[in-house]
Amino acid sequence: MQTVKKRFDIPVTEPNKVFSKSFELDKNIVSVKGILFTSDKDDLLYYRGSQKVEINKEEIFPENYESKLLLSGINVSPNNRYYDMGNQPAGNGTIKVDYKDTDDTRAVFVPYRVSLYVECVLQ
Amino acid sequence: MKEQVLIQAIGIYRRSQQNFFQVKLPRDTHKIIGVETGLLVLDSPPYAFSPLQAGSDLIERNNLMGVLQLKANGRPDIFYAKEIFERDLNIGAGELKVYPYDPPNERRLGLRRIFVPPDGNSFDFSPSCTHGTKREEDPLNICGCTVINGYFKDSIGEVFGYDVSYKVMLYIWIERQMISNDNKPGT
Repeated sequence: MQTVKKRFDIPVTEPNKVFSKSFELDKNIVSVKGILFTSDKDDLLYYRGSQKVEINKEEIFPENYESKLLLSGINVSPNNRYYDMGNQPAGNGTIKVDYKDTDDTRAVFVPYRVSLYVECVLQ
Repeated sequence: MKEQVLIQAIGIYRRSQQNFFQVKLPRDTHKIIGVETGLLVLDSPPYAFSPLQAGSDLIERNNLMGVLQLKANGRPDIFYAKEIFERDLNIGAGELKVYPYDPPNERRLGLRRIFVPPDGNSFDFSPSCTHGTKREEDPLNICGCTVINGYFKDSIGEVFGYDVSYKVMLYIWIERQMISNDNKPGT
């Protein structure tokens, strides 16, 4: 089983706003094995972020699911960092992310980037 | 069988506030397989949740936000209880750190304080976002439950003597029996 990792970015430019983006996977990808969220400013993603994730129009994580639950720190081995999704069929290959930034007194807003990494299984 | 997560936000706005809530599970829920929690701080006293500075060599007490309890309908016992902490303040205790050169004479005389810029490589504390382990739900196996009765009581407001506003996020993982409509008449 050959796997490939893809990265998609969502720039977060304003506080307390939802940023929706759809990403297309390659046609030769049959399923999604794992996903991972990171950021250029980890603390903002950890304290302020939540998201809804849909793959092939199927809701994987509902609205308000906190990003910190899909983050892995440097203490986690690189082989274990991805959230295990079993083998979620890629279907039409569309991944839709509604990322929501919410105020938290522990992390003051500055523009940041949210990156979604997807571990995919090739045909 | 299909896994799904249900989200319940519990808002706390006053000290010692108690919050009773209900979570209705979908009709085709087979069992509850796990629970995880999160926290969003909306308003707090200045520097209330700031960790001690590096090099203090102290272990800090974690801030207990409150206690959460969950009960299945029709059953007397609590099936899940958890103390919600703001974060693990001692997550980096015992970590090796590299400090800039500090001449002993000046340090002894207290003439100079070292300023370590927060440049991304020298946090003045170890944050959970870099040092936390992989987050997974607490596994459960609760069958035959249709409604969850929940209770949360604030503690941090009592400690601070201040109305701390925050939301506790409750994530309930369930397993659903996906019943196909293909063989039903009239569908």
